[in-house]
Amino acid sequence: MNSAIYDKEPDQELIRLVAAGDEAAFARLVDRYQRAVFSTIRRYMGSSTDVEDLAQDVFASVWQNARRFEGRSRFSTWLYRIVVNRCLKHRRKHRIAVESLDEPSEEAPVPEQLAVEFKPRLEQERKSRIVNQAISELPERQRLALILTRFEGKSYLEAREIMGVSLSAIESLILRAKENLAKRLEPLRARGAV
Amino acid sequence: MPHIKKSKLSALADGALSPIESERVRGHLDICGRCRNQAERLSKVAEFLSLANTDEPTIPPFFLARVRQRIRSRKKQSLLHGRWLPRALIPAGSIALFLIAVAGGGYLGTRAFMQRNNSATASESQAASYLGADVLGDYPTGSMGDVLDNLLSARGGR
Repeated sequence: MNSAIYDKEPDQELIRLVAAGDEAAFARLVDRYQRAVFSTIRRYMGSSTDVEDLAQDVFASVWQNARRFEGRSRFSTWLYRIVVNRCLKHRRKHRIAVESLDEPSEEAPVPEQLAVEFKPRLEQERKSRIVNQAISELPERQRLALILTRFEGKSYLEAREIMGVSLSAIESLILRAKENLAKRLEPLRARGAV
Repeated sequence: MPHIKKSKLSALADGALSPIESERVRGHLDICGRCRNQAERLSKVAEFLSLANTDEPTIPPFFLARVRQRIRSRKKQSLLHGRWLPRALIPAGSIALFLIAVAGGGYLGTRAFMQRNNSATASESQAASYLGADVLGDYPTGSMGDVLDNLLSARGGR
């Protein structure tokens, strides 16, 4: 089999094989979803967390709980629910604090010539860091709703299923996330920082 | 005409409303300056979000192998410290203790009963032979038992 054929296999079929102990099917599921899982964990937990460790934990749980997947929701919804639960558990256990925007972390000085050459890119990275920081400071549920819908391409309906809340709650969480971001970033834009 | 809820304006900016609802909200925005301002403010947040890092994550080499390793180590752990063990041991231990107590109590009780029975029979036999009586019958004529019996019945007769 080649990868094109793998891609056509529906998730539901793969997870059914995984439940029966098929390691090849498990490898295909990991291959299909590892980027999404890494990306969500990194956005949700921040770069300071051991993203790989959490991602391993997520896929180990998929293997162990495959039999419990009943097919009532999409596999990706079920997987994201595991990701979210693992992240929340990790956060509670380690009580991760977010850095404040007002106290930027120290950076190594950049040599002058390099700074000129890469100025646009450095500027872009700086702005990106500020926005990422503002997102990481959002309350947990607002941040999660925003990440799922804005960066992971989930619809409001899927985000509702993953988070186990109503559609109006998702709409409200996203609205509040946007308002908080605007409150945080608009003064920085006025100063030309973003 | 009532204003549109802000959450609906936000959903419109994300393309999350149904076509019919989108049409309705857009129609309202054409005639309502207040809602239009709010919608514009919310759409500016999208500009901030477009600055956020969208780099693809790097998957470390041998990631799948490490996941498999973790699954194996979890299996070992669950065998050693599995939740089933204490759950099974507590009721099994209670039942075993109960059975031991019942069996032990029964054995000791039977033994004590037998001993008591034996000693009662022996002392009765001893007394009967001293009195010259058959344990189950009347005292023979002229025996100590017969004399004693006669004396007691004579006193009782008075």
